[in-house]
Amino acid sequence: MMKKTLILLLCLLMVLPALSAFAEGPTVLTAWTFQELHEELFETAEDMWNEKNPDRQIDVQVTTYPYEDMHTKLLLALQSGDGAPDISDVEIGYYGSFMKGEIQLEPIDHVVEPQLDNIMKSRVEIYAGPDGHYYGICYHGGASMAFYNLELMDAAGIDPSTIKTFDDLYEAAKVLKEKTDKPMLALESGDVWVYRAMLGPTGGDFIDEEGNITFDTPENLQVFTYMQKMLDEGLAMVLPEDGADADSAKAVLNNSEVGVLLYPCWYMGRFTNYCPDLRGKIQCEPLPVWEEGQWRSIGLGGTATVITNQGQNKELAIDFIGFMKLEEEMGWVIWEKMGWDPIRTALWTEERFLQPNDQVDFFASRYGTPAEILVEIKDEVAGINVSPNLPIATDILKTSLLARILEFGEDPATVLAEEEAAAF
Amino acid sequence: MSQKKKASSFSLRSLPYDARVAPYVFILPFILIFGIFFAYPIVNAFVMSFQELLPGQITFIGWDNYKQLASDTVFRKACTNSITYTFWTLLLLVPCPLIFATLLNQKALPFRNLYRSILFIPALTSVVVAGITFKLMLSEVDTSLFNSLMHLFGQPSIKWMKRADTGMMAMVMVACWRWTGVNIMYYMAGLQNISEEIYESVDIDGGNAWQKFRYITVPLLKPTTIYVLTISIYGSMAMFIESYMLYEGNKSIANNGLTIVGYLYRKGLQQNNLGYGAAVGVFLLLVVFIVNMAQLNLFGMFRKEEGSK
Repeated sequence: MMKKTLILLLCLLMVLPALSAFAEGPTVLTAWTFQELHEELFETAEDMWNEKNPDRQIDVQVTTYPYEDMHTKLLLALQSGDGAPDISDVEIGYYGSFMKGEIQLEPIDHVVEPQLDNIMKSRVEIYAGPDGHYYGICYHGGASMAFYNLELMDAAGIDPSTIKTFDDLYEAAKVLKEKTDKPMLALESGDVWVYRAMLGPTGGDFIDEEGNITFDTPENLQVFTYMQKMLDEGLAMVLPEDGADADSAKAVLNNSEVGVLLYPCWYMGRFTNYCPDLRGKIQCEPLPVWEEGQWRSIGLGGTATVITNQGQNKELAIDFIGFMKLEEEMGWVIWEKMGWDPIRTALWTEERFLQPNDQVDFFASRYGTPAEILVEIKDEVAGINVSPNLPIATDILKTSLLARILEFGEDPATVLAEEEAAAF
Repeated sequence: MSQKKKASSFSLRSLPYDARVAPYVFILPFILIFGIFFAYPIVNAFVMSFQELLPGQITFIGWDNYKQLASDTVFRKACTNSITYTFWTLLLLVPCPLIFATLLNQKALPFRNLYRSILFIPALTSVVVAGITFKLMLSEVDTSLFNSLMHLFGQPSIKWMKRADTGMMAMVMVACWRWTGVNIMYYMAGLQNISEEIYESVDIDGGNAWQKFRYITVPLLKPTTIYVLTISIYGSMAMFIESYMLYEGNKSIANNGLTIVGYLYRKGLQQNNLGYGAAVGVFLLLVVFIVNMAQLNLFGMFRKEEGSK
């Protein structure tokens, strides 16, 4: 008798959790990210989604891992076919690794395509697979800009709005050096953003249309020769550690040690969060160009949010991501709360975009607010080429190429040719 | 019929009590764990090194991964780094702990238990914490600990982690900080086996402390030294976490901090090229195997016992 009761109880215990699945309640969606700020956005989006969709309630459970950990975990989970979350962030530097073989992500065409006219197309095209399907949507436009330090510019009597070309920048740098003994241009030897921002206006890239790695191009040579000239004459400095996102580099910027940082728009959030002394002192401007008529910005960096093929509620996850990244109200959250340029460029032309907000107020407005600059360059934001080779090329840049030219002063032409030949 | 069934069930039940079977039952857990977690992955790594592994597509590509490896300059750099690192750690981590252990074994030394604990603490500290701390101390900004020291001596700041020599120094420093205590412990254990009488007889013969160390301690610790050397060679060649932590995310400038395992991690996991990563791993396994075999052979580990002296 006792035994029977026990067996019955045990059976019930086994069945109960399964039964609870039928109970009413929000659907759980798991999500991985590597950025605490993204976690915040997920939570905001979850609340707004639940308000709008009473019949499709969700509970998004976000886990934030360190950058490398999250990507390697996700790669292995998708490779082995088990253990991946419903939703995950994938940084663009890693994205190519996920486009190899049979793609283990869900196409999200039906949420992206209706919005294509309202958004910066390049921010979903860079996440299109070789099969032409869309697999991810970015958090922000990543339009790169020039961030001038007005304290230094004023000390040297330079008007940053008159710096239109890299030749102008060179001349201004000489004045700055003479008046303040501070370098003008901040360079990075372990990260790619400054280099990419300078390469952008040339129209060149280090990945060609077919996805091959091409360092050895006239455009690359032009950029690196310029960088080296600026360094040799003391007009540029290499930021400490990897580059501008390192804590010690933020300290250098915050102490007004360098004149200008050419960087993607998402660095605005870094200024407001980590460089309190620069309040009111950073003037945003379009990038200088090499020749008149070149585009004055390039969309850089970014993180795709993707849906894995292992989830139980793929449709729901796709709809949620479409809402979070593409809907108008979320666009405002991204601009006003996070300080990123929303990929929904339809918002950029609205009156509300130019209104002051906590993020934008941090910056100087003498020659135009960041919003005004963004509107000015709206149609000049170039895209980049993405291929499975991008992670490999990025690794080469970060671990070898940039350092050889900028830290060890090797000849750019030789380095570019050698690194391209050795890349695989 | 029923009797036959009974007989078979009887023999099955008695099986574990069979003296011939019992030993295998006892070692079964080990065999299983070894098979599932060691032998299978190793065999599989060999197989994978001949494959291109992509999600949903596994193709045999013959020797392609190894051919690529032979002409890979970054891999060569990683090998050079690992070998240099091994050289320095062996040079420092074998003799120094031996000397420290001998000193700590002196009964005359005050607070020797305190020293023992202090020297062992680094081994218990998380490498992640240690890596970040060392990274901050060796930062290139003027206010970092090492640059402050340089300024004390009137020297300019150094980009410690961006130079090849100082970067290697940083990795060797972390290794010494971390492993000295562990190696001391091995030597301390070895020292307990050397009987007091031998030292006493040296005293009677009028030998001094150096002679005791040179002619008694060092030769009698030879088995311990061989053991320490063997695990150090493997440990140094397979070093990864220290470099991963010092150079955030395995990305060192000019690949100065890239080790063989670091390259395996980069190619296999970070760039999703598991086949190539497996080839790097197989190469490492062979190199460590050959080096250790040569070294053990040199020390006469495989010689037949020639009758104890």
